[in-house]
Amino acid sequence: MSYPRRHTRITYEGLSFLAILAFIVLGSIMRQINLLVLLSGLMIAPFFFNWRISAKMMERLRFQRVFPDSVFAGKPFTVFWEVHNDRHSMATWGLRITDRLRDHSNAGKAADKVMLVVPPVRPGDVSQGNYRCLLPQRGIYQLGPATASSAFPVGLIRTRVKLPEPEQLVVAPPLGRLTQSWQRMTRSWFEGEESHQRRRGTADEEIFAIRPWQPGDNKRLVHWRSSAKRNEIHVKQFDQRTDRQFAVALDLFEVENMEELVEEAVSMLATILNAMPAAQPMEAVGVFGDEHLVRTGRVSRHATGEFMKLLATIGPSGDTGILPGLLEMSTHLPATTTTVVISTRSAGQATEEQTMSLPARVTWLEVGTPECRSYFLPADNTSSDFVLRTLGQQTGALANG
Amino acid sequence: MANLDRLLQVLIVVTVCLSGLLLGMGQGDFEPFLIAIVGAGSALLLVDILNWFRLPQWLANILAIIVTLITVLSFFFTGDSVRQLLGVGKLLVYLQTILLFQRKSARVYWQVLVLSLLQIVVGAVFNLGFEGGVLFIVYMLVAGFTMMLLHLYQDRQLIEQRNRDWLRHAARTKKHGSMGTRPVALAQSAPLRRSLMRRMLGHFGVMGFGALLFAIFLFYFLPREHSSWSGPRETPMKVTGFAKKVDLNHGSIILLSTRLEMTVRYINPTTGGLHQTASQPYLRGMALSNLKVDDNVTTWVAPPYQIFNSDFRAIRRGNSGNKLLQEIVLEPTDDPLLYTAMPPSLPPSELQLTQLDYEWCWPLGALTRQRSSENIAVTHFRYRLEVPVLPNGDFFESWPYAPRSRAVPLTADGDPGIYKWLTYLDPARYPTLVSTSRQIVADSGSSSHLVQARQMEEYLQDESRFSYLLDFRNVDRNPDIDSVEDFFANFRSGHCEYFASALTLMLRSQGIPARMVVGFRGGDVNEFGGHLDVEARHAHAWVEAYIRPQDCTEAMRESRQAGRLGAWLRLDPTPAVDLDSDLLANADDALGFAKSLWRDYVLGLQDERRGAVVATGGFKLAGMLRFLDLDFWQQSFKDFGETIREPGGWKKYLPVLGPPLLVVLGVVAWFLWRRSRTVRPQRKGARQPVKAGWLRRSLARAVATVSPTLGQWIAPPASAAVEVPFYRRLTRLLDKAGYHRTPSQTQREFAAAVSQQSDAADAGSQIGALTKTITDFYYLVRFGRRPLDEQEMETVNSALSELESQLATTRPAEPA
Repeated sequence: MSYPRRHTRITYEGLSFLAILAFIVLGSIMRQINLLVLLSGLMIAPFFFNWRISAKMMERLRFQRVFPDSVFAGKPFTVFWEVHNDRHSMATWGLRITDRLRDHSNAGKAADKVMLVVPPVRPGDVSQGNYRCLLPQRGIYQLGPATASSAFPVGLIRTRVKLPEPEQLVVAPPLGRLTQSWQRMTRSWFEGEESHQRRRGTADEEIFAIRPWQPGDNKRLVHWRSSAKRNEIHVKQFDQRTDRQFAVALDLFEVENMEELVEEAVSMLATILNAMPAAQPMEAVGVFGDEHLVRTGRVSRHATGEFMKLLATIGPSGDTGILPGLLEMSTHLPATTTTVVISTRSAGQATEEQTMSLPARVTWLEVGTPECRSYFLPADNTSSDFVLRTLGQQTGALANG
Repeated sequence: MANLDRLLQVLIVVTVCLSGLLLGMGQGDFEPFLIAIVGAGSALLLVDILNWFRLPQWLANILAIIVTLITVLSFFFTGDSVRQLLGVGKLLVYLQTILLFQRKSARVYWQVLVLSLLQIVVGAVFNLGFEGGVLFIVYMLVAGFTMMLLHLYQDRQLIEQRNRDWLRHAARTKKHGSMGTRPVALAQSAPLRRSLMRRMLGHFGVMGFGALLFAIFLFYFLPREHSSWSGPRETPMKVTGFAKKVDLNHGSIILLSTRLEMTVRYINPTTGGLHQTASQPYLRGMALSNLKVDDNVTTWVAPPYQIFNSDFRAIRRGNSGNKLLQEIVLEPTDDPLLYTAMPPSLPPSELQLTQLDYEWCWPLGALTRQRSSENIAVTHFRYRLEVPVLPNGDFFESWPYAPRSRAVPLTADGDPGIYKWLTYLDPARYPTLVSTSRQIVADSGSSSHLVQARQMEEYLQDESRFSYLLDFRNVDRNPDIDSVEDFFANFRSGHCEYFASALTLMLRSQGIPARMVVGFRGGDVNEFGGHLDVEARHAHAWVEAYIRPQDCTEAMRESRQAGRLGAWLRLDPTPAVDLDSDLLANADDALGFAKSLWRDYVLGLQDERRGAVVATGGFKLAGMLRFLDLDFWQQSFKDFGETIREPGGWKKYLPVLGPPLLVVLGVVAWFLWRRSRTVRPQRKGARQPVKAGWLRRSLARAVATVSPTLGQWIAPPASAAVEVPFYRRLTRLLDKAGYHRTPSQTQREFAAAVSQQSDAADAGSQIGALTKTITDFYYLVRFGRRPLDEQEMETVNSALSELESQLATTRPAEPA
């Protein structure tokens, strides 16, 4: 097994210490001041020990970054660093890890650093440090490259190692809230089909996944063991078949200076994708922006993940051709399927530009309009403030000013 | 964090108080300690605990400048180094106190620690006593542990600072009704648990013990070239030992050296058995007959310029009578001088010796083995001589006078030249001494020089008048009068050199020829070997007075202690002192013993005290360390200045200074050449970087703490050290067209960004693809470390031309 290469350097304190030491050594030799000779010895020794101890402490350490597969913008999550000490003797003390966080899509932006201290790692043991993250914008982020270092015991010399390659973190759009009107609307599409629905959420069904709790989730679905482990409420998800048929399409038409509309549209689809499968699985999902992706047939969890990744980076497009895509998607759906189009423009504008009419059973929702807001409320500032405050208090950052 | 913070605050206060106390003890002025304890205590209470008051940084800086100016003006233009050192000590305490009243951060704590360490340095320069030594060790322990905690504190503070920065940035970018765009990542610092503290203390204990062992090793094995420092207020320490010059300068401390000089055995020639002497032998070295006075310091030296070949005389074979065989083994030395009890003669058993093996040098009054030290092997030297003893076993106190040339007594009439030499003094320099001598002679009521000399000896031996002293640090001297006159008239305490000087001068003042003699008195009896171990601490000075023939007693003549031309009489005016008891004079309890150890083996440690092995081992290194001696350089520069002012004087230094100058010039040229190579153009592809060496990078890092620009000049960072001309052209082209690369962007990231932007502006544009192609070649050169071949260069050039034409027609989209 290979371990990262170690590099040693003198800290700022070490440099000033060295300067004083040089002064004392010279003075003691030139004037033969015996007390200064003794002082020199007492100062050289910690310097030497610091070098050897810190170098030894960084030997044979394995590092592993652990973070969730998918996270949502605006929702805090935890990144763990596990440190394995493979030595047979000597614990590692004062281990400081500096991780970097950068928005991958914005290459020009400098990486932000986050620093954490890992508790002492005994020989043959594992220790864990973590930091809490809140990413307000969707996108693909880069975690790392990180460095780990120790200047134990006196901080004069620091030995550091560069940690493995950076890793990607997909941050899905922020989740808003689907209102009661949305629930009523979707129910109305399936009137008369309730009898076909099987009971869901019973103990004999297999849990497909565990996901973080979201507003509107049933408390009975809380998976307490996972919640306790992750220090965050998680709920069980079941990949349950239903007979209801329902499709969603996202039309990200480029509207000048209305980036917020794009974000809201993306957020709405992400919220539907995240919330729906448990209750009302979709028959098809189509996304039309600067990239296109259409999945017909029952949308599985895997496909949902694929859409979430796309939604993390998708941008608007000036391409006006959603209607052909929509029509093509409809051809794969039963005639009774209702398609909800979430768009940054009105239905009239879309049909006007395409000189085409909408397919049957399409509900067009233009984001930002009161009608759309009656079905979906985007993540608001108040809740983000609350999240930030909670995060700050959890980590002690706010408590200490 | 809170418990660590408080613990650190308390430890810092303790450290500050200890350093203030040590500084006060060193300087003999406890004002710094009072300022430190009051300042640190009130800062802890008002700033750290009650949080009532805190100096803003700008105000603290102004205060620091004011305090520095006042201290500099008050202390630094006095020209007195002691006052300057006092000023430095006070300034350090003032600055430290100002720091303590600021908001605490790891940097502030570190600065406080540095200032306290500097106070220790100043205190150490003043030489701390034993109590100071104990506090010094305590300080090092407390400061070391404080440094450990400070290191932990620093990590935690960094995390907190980083957390606050994240939150602040997030708040800044927060838009109305949205969350803002900046991510937030906050780490949590774990509380400092007791168990953790215990384990840290354990670590510290191990490290502290190791540091102490290392320090002791370094302390005792570091070679010393010259006398140890005894503080700015005092003259350097001296160590007992034989010296061919007695210099009674104003004030010093004499340390007792245990270096072995010789071993001496006395054998009864009749029985062949070892003889235990009844009295301590005086092992005479040489006479110091010349009196010199310079700057109120009386100095006794031998007269080497008065020696002629005729002055060397063979040692006679012994006569009958009570005698002892004296066997002496000298420790290795290249000095031809031999030591002996008086008067020596060649024993009959040493028949193989020639007359020139041992000679008596008349002007020096010394026995030598050879005249040239070049022929002397530096090994142990064993020699045997016979010495007469009295029937009771005592050594002779006097012996017949042997004249230099003519058989005349040493009187003003008989041998006026020698008489004048051995009675020389300037009475005006010693008014009290001369008048007292005159009074003693008058009181004796005798014209006999023997009686008068004994009276003067007794006068000095009287412990109610004079006392024996080795440590002169607390003696008030009068530098305006001669040191012997000052001793005799005022402070009346001194060691054998003072007593012998005073008696010699007293005798001379009354017309009695006298000379100072240096050698060894007694030694430690080695019961196992039956011999005396004579160590450097047994070195002694006494007096020899000439007694006229008419003043010699009948008993002296009968016992052959006097001759027809008179006698040399040995007089020892030094009060009887048991050197062993003096060594442990203060050691009546454990504390006293520890004090004497601290004084002798820490403050006054010199090569002689470390033992022969250590001293020999470090001998050569010590020679090299001479170049670190300030005095050496001062003298050298002085000589250099004088020589260079002479016409053509610089030529003398050309052979000495020329080669080092050439070396320095060579190093500078090499440095410039190495630096030029970092931008040396190659025919194709890259300017290949030359990686700065470890030394240069370290130097650059050190300089960068003061001036980052200068640091970069010394060793440019790896990224800046490389320039690939075609890539530079690419960046220039793109830059002109509005594509700017940010410092944090890698070349590939930049290419991706350009591609994204150019595609957004014009989907059919080739700008992105061309940029990516050229960037790939750049990586090949920059990281693949190989120049491009002809075909590759052609590809790059055509890509650049194509890109140039594309950029001329296409405008980039606004950056995302």
